[in-house]
Amino acid sequence: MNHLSTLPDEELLRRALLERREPGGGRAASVLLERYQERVYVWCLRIVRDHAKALELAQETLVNAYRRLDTFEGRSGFSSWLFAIARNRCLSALRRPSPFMDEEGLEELVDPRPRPDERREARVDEETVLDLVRRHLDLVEQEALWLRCYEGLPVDEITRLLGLDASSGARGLLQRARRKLRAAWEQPAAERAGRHG
Amino acid sequence: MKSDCPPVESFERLLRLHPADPRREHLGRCPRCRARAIAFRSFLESGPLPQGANLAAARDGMTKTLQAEIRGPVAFARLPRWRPRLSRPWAAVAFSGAIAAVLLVLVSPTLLKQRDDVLLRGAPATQAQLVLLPAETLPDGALLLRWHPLPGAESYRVTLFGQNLEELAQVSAGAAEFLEIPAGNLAALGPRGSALFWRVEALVGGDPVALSTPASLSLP
Repeated sequence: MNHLSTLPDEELLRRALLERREPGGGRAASVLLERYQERVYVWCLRIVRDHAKALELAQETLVNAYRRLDTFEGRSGFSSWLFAIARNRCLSALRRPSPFMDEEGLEELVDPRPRPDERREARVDEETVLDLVRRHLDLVEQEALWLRCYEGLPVDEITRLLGLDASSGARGLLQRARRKLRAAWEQPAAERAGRHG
Repeated sequence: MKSDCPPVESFERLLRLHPADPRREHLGRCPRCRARAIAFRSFLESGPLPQGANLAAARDGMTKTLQAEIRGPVAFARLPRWRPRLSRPWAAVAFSGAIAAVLLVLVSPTLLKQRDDVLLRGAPATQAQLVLLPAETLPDGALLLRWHPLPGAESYRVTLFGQNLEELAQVSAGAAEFLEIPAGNLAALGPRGSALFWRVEALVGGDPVALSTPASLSLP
């Protein structure tokens, strides 16, 4: 096992795929996935902020990755492939906030039902929001809003990642970004289209 | 517009490129991709642990889950330690004789013309609630035993018998409706091509509530 732990991801993956056909195999896959398991858990915990839930999501991610190892085509890096699985698991377990509505301390988890006031905005597809974000928000606002609403990161994590002033943090930034976005969205559609065109 | 965004899976390679590289340029100007790149870097970093982290418990839980998945749907560790219950030769002969007598009375010539796995049919009707499917050999040489699930069963127990109906092994399949015996474990059951018999019990609270009729299989 020791010598396996010194191998790069690509070599471990190659061996893992070979070992799957052998009885008692799985050592390389085990080393490869255990190499990333803490990162997966910490990532899940950053998103859902609850140890038990994060552990459950991390376990699901690792098992899912093991089952799908032979679909890994090698065109991407293993870490980003695994991240994609973890990210999808976490996002499906989250109630993601609307890019339009202020959150009022909304950080809670897993209530997939949209609030009544979110229903109208829920119909705005991601591409439309992306277009509005591009045209109406500055770079840091863009990143903060997207991290919050589409990557599911908590506000304090966004504050840390974007290196924002801890006193107001991402909360104030997100409020401002949402205000701008609402104003842009509430413009008549023809005006929006004309300005865009 | 969406098609411009590379999949998250490709970020590790893209982020290694020079920022001026055209393949990476999109990542710099697209809000969605910038946010995803920030999230991906956060996944890779060894930053401060979030509040509530219990790394030791998480490590333990994840390792156990992963090992259970890698070993297969059932822990087959018990297989090599099979317990021949009919250790005395006369008991085996008596058991075989009893089964043979039942077979002679109940198995019709029509059934005998069919496949080997119906040879042992004729068990009491109450035992026929669990229906076994034909044993299969997987591409990796493992033996796959499957059966139709029994409503209400909490777990299943599989028993394998040798040619003289001596018990070779008894293995819990847990709640799974199948048991995969890795190729490496098959040698413990006998030489390749041996005819064996198998039977499944459905359990509730650890007690058998239904028993399949035995079926035969040929050891791959």
